[in-house]
Amino acid sequence: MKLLLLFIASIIVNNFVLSYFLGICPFIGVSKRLDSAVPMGFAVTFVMTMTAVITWIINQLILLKLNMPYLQYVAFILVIASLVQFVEMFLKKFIPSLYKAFGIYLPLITTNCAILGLALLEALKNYNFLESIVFGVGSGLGYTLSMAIMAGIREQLELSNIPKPFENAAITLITAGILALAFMGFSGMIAL
Amino acid sequence: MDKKPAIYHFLKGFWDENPVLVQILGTCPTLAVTATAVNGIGMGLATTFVLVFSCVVISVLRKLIPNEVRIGVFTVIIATFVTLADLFLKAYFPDLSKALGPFVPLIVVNCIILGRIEAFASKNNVWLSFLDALGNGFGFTLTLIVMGSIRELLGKGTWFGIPVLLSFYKPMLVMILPTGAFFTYGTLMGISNALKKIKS
Amino acid sequence: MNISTKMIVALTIVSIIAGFALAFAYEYFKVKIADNAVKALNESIGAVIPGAISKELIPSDQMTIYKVYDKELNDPAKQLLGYAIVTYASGYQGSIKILVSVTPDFSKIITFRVLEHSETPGLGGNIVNPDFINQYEGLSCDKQIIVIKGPSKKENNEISAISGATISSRAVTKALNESFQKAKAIVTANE
Repeated sequence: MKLLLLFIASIIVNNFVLSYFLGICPFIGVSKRLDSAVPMGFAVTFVMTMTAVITWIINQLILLKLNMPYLQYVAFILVIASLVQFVEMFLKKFIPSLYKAFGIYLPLITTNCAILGLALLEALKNYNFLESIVFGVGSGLGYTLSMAIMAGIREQLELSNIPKPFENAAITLITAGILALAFMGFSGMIAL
Repeated sequence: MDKKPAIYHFLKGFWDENPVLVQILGTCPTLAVTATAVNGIGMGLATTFVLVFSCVVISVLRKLIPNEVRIGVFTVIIATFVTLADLFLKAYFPDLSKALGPFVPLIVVNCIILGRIEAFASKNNVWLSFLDALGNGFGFTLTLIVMGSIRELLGKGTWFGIPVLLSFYKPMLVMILPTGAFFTYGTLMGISNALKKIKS
Repeated sequence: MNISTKMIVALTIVSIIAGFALAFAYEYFKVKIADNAVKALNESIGAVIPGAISKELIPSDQMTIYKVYDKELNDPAKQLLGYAIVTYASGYQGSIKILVSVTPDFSKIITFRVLEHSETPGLGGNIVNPDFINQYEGLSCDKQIIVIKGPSKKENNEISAISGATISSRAVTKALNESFQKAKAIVTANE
């Protein structure tokens, strides 16, 4: 039951983009169209879940046992960079169409603060193995959800008259603000 | 190679190529830690520290790092300096460290750092890389201070903790919440774009 | 060297240097960091038990409880000033860490302090306000503290919830209520 609550909470209550401010750069960059936002979201979810698992193993079984928590940042980022590299190679070989579709965005996942943020939060909250997986999947899906909503809105915004200085990034941010306001309504829904 | 005077590389980080408002990098900490002006300064300076040292080290080593593995090497170097900054803050500024929370380690993936390294430090000499990093870092810090000040003044009525507007102004709570962050950032960006248009 | 070897060599060298630099830095800073934690703890305990001079951690892996003394007082019976208990509340936005102090006989609350929280500033965040905390001072530990939505009466062990932050107020109260009996049991078992 607790896992289910954690799952739901990660998606909407503690949404990575709208509550924790993680993963904003690609959020602004990729959310222009729905058909690029959603695959990006799923890629992020995949990387997040794998990261959640691998960093848990490294953190709990190696770093903490050896009393070297200060190596966390270096270790985590190495894991993430390698993981993304691996995903890239895998896609290039086995699903080249998807690889082409992601283009530059795939390597950019490495610097997506959402992934490192996930690893850090999970270490901070000392989740156990199962909780980490649920957290990873949930946060990824929440990320995908907010990207999808944003993309849907932006596709509509293209048709309206926005003052020139506010086009693109600025209006996206303001829209995100309104979305954040809406998502605030979910706070307190789940007392963890 | 570069006909611009060295000082240009320092100054461009403030306005022309402001990392937050023009390059749109470092967005996450910009939104997350600017609920107060003092957090903005703390984050800005910590990031500047990491930016400058990483850029200088990588500029020194730029001819030695194999191209294929450069991102990996860059990130390890950045992560090392971030850990150093984090340890320093925890030791000498524990309250600031607590306030900034997980966003100090997140400097590792602050796109400003990797961005400047990829675009500049890995291809230019040490002096220019230093100036570029310093300028970008200070530009970033300045923008964070502005954002932090706006949000703190409107959201709490204080500035750097000093009650300024409280006697006659009821603070708008939303400014220190996520929504306020997005609104302030978006508005600042819009305004700076407009100003740039007017200038040209 | 082919590419893979180059990659591995470069990464390994950098990682080893980084590892050493960080181990070094950690050793250098860790004393100060540990000191900061001790200072912060002492300061909090001093804040919730006035006149506190020394403390003693009660061995237990279930709760963190400190016996707080002023051994310079002449009367040995008065030297134990009270107990400082760390407890956690499930707040609106996450966990709330509280340090609550009680009289030596576990009958009354002295006061409490919120050590960590992520409640909404301006709403749940107001649990750190002295006005809110004062309501709990002197309340009985033997009876449940009750949260009321309007004006409350101390004689009835009641406190008024912060308007707009009922959940945070209730969370804090629940944590306090639950901690007293548990802490008392641990302390008694330890005597």
